[in-house]
Amino acid sequence: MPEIGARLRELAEKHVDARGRKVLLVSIATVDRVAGETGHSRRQVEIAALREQVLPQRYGRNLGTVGYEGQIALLEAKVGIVGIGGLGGWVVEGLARMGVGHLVLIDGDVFQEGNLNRQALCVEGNVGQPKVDAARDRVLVVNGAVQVDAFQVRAGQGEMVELLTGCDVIVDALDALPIRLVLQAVAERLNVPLVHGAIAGFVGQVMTIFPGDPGLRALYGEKAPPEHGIEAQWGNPAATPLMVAAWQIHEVVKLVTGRGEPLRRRMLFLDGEVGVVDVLQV
Amino acid sequence: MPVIVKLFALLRRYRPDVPRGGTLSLDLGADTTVGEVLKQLGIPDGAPVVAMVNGTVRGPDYTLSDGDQLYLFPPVSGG
Repeated sequence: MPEIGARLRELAEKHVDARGRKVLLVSIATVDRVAGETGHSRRQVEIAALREQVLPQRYGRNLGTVGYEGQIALLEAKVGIVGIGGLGGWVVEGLARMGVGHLVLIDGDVFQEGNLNRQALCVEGNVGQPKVDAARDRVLVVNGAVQVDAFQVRAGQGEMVELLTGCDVIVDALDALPIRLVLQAVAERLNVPLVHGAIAGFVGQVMTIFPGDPGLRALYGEKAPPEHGIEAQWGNPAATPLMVAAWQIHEVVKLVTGRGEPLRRRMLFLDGEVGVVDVLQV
Repeated sequence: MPVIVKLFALLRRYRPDVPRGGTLSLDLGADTTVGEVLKQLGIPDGAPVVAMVNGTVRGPDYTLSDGDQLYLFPPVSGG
């Protein structure tokens, strides 16, 4: 798409950043203008811009962390999020803001009043509505470059394999143990990493499971585990899903961009009650 | 034989004397099992606990060895 690059350079604003380097910036309006002129999607134009070292302003604060190449990788990535509740809502928000280009959202539930205390996408006006619909609407207003495939379904193993095929990373934002183990098998079958997160009370855990890693099977065994963990007693207050979802977002960004070290065979165990974080070898 | 025990999250309440983030050194008889340690700590039978010995999850019948590290934490699965 060289002609797109030339057009973007022509329309870009020239800036000097805090370190005195020249930067070419394009606004959302400019990206949309070039998309309209060339018949490409906003995401395609953003990727073409980044390849020309032209920076969509909206990703300016990502740049120092992921670089042009990392931002391109994020826009080209397809990430599946299974469970759009306390964890999944914040994960969707964060990945859309980072500019992950394609999100696959799976959740069979509708919002209930009991979700209002912690679920980012649940508001008084959408109680009774499907969670995936709210998530798709939210992504559209946060980042119109992101393609969303939303499925309101309680998917079993076969269906999950079908819906998540082509994803580069899968996020486990579910709320019951047996289906989490099924999702680990799905990620293994699709040969992609799974970013696990779980919460209860003041406590949360995060771990990235690569195909072949013991992961959740090491923690809960192969046989049918109990439906729920300790959250059945401790509940899920507002801050804990943010705390864990934030780490899950970072894990996805690291996996997609190749930066940093994922929490592989290491489970982060966060205890907000006393302010202690442990890393358990799994 | 000494065994190092670490209690996570609300399981800390069974040994409130242990400083936060700290570990407990128990002097156990030979052939002590994970289940016996749970009992000694006052953790009720059937309480939701994951027991990890030197990084591997073990059941209550697992026999501990000299110098083992036993981590006890709750199963966490909310989302």
